[in-house]
Amino acid sequence: MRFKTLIILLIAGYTSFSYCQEKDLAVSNIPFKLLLNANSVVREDEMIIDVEDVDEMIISTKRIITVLNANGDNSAIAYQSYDEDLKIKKQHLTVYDAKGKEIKEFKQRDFRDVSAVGNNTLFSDNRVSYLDYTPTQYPYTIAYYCEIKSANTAFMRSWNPVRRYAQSVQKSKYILNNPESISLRVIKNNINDSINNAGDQFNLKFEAENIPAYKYESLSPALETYVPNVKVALDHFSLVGVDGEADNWKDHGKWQYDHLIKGRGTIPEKTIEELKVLTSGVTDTLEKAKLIYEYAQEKTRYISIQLGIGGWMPMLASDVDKLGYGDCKALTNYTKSLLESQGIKSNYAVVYSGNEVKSIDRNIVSMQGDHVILNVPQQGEDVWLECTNQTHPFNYLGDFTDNRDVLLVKPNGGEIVSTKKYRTSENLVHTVTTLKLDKDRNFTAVGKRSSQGIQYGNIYPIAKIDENGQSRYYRDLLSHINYLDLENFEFNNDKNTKTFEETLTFSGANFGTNAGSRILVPLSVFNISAEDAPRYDSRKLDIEILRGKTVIAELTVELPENYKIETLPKATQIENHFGSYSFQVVPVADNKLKVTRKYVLNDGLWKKEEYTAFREYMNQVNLFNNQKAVIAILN
Amino acid sequence: MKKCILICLLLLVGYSAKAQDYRYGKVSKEEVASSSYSKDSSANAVVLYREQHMSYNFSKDRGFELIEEVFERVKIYNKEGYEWATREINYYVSNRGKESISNLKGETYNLKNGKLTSVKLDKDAIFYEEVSDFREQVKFTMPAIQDGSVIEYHYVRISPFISSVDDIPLQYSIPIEKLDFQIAVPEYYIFNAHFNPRSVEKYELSTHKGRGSFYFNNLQRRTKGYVVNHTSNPQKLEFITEIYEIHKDDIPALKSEPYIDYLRNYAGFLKMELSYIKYPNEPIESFTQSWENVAKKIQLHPQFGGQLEKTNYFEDDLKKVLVGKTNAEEKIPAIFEFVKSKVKWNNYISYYTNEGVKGAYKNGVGNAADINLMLTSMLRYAGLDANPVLVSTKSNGVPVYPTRDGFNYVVASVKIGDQNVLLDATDLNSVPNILPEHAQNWLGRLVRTNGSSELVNLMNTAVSKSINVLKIQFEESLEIKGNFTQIASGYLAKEFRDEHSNRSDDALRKELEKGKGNIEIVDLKLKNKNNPYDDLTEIFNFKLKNGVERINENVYIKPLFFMAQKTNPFKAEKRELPIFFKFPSVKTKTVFLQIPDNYKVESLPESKMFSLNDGQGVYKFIILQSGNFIKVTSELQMNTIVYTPNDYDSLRRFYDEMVTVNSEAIVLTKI
Repeated sequence: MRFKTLIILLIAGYTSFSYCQEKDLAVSNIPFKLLLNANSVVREDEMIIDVEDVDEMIISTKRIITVLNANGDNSAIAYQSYDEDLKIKKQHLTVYDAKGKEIKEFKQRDFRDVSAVGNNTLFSDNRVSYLDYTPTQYPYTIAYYCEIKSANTAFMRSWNPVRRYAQSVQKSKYILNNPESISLRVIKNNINDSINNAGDQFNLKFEAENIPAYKYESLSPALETYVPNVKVALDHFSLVGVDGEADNWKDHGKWQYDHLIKGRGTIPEKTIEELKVLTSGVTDTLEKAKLIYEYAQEKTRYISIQLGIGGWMPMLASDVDKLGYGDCKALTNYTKSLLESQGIKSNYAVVYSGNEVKSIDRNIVSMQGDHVILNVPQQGEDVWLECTNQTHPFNYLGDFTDNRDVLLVKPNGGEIVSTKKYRTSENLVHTVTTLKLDKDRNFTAVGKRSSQGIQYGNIYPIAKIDENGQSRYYRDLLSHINYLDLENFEFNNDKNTKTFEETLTFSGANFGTNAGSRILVPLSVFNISAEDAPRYDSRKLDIEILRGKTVIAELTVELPENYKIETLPKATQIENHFGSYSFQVVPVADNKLKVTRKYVLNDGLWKKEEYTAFREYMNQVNLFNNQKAVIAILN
Repeated sequence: MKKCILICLLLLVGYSAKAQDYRYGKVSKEEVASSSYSKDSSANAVVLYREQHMSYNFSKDRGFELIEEVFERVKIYNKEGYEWATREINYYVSNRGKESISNLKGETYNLKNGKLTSVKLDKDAIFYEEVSDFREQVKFTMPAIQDGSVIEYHYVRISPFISSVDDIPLQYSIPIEKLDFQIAVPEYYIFNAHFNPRSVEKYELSTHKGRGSFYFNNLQRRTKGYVVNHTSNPQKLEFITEIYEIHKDDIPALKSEPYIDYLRNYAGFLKMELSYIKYPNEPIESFTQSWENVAKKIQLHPQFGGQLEKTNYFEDDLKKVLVGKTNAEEKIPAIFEFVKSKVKWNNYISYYTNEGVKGAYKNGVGNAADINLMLTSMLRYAGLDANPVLVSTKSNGVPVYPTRDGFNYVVASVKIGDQNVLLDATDLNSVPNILPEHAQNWLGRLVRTNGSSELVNLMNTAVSKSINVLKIQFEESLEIKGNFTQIASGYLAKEFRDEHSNRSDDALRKELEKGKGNIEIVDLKLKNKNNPYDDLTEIFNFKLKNGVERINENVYIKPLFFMAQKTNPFKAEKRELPIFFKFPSVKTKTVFLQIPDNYKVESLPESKMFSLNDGQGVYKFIILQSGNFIKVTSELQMNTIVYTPNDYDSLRRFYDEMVTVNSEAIVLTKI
């Protein structure tokens, strides 16, 4: 997390719990269909948000969860993060047995208090209060209550009745009381008739009952895209003591710019002089921008420090210049200032990071995102810069921030735009291998692999790790080859074309499968791996491939004189809407075999009914990858 | 203290005569200009100098204190070494006092246009954080880091915990070019100092005598945590100090390797263990110095030995459990299962109870000591010869020198005949003599009520077995219908239970289908999934597509199908650290195969048998044909569980050969 850890409440509670009868908590009261595929059941989830003022709200939460087995334990962890602007007022937890009888009670003093600094963060003022509870029996039920007071109304809790796989929901309720009648904006997603909506213009009330558990299935869309949720934002809000007013992205972006970014971009004259020297004689703007980006990469490194408003406001560019480090906000703002000093315009862009592809929800104008990148507007395709990475090429985002909506925070207001999408044909891995076999089945081989697009970003860091780690990686990659001797590996990282090339030299013994008077020679050295598509009795969720890819594998096998090619597998061509696959092996002069494979997997979203066909395609890819030539050994 | 500073100064003056100046602030241009480390070109960063000086100080208000001064100069070669510019220093708080960090300063040196420049570590960039109730942390990151930067930092730690000295680090995961360590101990404290004997790198410890003195108005002294007041005139207290020193150059980086029990076990470090305290005119207060002493001390502690004496809290319940049980063979599992069901482990490791056995029994939750001491006293109550066994878990390393920290865990043992049966009720899948992996670490120490003790072996020498049988039938299309059975015992059964016992049937089916090709598993049955006292049986039927290769007139069959050892787990070319298998094992795999109609055998792979180093491991592969039937048997015996790096090559070749044998094909041809 490169932004201030947003205040996420997994479980929070409310104190007046007198009306809930113990016998109601008995496991026998859970409807049967809620037990299917469930490790835990949300018996009752109630969140009451009282918006007292633009800069004050009280949030009371009650979460009663029955844990059916040990896999459900992590859904019953009671914790609340807090900081200067978010105070815990009350916290308390009771544990019940399967019959609904109370077995243990915990008060605020039983909760532990620890710092909530993540691995990537040097310092943050976030802390967590949590309860360390060891279950003594299954099933058991916890009732957790928490009341907090927050000054940051720029972040409003949304309603997410379904929060995880393998958890059903008996009852979930969301109430927002807004006595001051501050204008609200509300976005309802996947809300159908089964959900009770009893709110009005200023006050909200949603209620859901009996939602069965969702089972995780591989290659399915993110849970939050198909379960019900309600997002809320205030038109008039406050963030760490700074008030704001906005009901559209232009105004919200302008507010962010004016209060968080403006005036933080001054850099020392000395640095400007250095940049002038660096870019003198260069006329092309992009070429200039590239030199400046590389200058910033050389000079800075990523260190995250999140204190108070600093969780949302970048460190001064002049401080970054002096200290040589900063978080995503600081480094982006610094790079932006450097570009600006040389007359190049760029925009601070707020984004959700991670390879899961989450967009800023353009339908709900509010504080969003967990990361910042830099946008350099161009005629045609914009240039995007990841400023927290010291080794990425200019204009490379990779799968951390590709293909999603982001918010540009510009001096004259906000704007939602999309980052670059890496297309199937761009995400290319191409291997060329020559393998020479001798009469005793020893071999020597040279393999070259070049990677582009998303694959580029995934592989090039191999060049930076220690030699032991590199060697281990290639031994794993080639682990299907027995008696492997890895002789050498070399890298060529072409940052201009964003192509990473690896050249491996290796040898080994006992190549292929001994089959009496014949050997079966595998026609694949760099294996193409199909997606893992497990078998489901009945697939419930759609299929989503977020990024397409193209893999081409060429192999030349040189055989010794006494080996005679007996049988070669037939050429194959598969074509469907998931992609395509082709395979061909031909004998060429001097007892050589030339093998060509091409595997294409498209990005896309397909209906669950298509899963069987998808799985069949993957099985075919595996099957054709495994094909072998039959070679007779002559004496 | 002054003496110590003087010594430091003398030492520093001595070094400054050489080319490099190791005083704070005296970074040379050459150090910053250097672009790679000549002695290890793969190093991303190198500690050019580490100095750690420790001494005792007497404070008027606080009594004796342990002062630790640390100074490091680190060269950063490239971006991968930048992490060495960020440091975290832990310091501890307890009800007996609080450590503090002071005089923290740092500076980064760079070359700019051929000139040496520096940037100081800003006070605002130093963060103090309460990590937990017992631990605080100072964190900082050095400014202006670039490829080639040299950083220096220095701090002083003042600790009231005079009797415990943290392990002195003598090796890092980056090289240390020069290291100076010194501790000056007043004559009142007698320490034993020892190196980690399993460290590949060797160090020398030199000792000599020094002198120290303090001046006081009010003589105060800390004994056992209390400050004793003596009112007297200003006076001088003189004493002799024992000075321990380590000076070493060119310490290589500690590099990690896979399949190692725990890397820290092999790092260079010095342990300082307080042996006894002897204040003037007071009797000796003895600390530990032999394993017998350690065990006795622990036994005497109310949170250990005292817990074993309590019985009234469980007597009524236990009597019911023991009804009708007359001999040890019946009583042991009954009591063991009773404790497992009664008290759940909260994942805390300790040989001292936390809540106490009584509280743990009542609440149903406890740490390892709560649970296993309770188990021991129940076994005793039932008339069995039971004792606790102190253990050092894998993550705590191998206990080499007698210290209380050498142990961190406890299990129970009960004597049957001349055998000690070991029990650990923290793990639901554990049975007598099958300890969880973390407790299986060399030797433990059995402690008797009278404080006497003996060593017991924790490494399991019983052979764990698995028997796998695969029956294969071909359809006309050459698709396969088959049946698989596995019977596993000992640790092999425990591993299966540990991995799968929380999975639903459907999730387990999916897990078992992984890596077996285009398979469909049906009728999956497990026997004794939750009964660790019996062998675990796994049975399923399956359909397998493309399980063999048909090319023209021939069919090629890998004789062990999905049971084959496909890859060699030992991939690296060489190895410097030993290799551990968790237990000795025998795995047999048998395949019964009916040749499909219209086919005959053209060739069969050869039967083979070979062994590893005269029988440390043995592999047999036997293939037999009788009419239309083929029977394949594969048996792997691993008799020895610990291998030295010298054995690595033969171990690797042993597995290579097995993989090759497993890959050879049966060839059928159409009639």
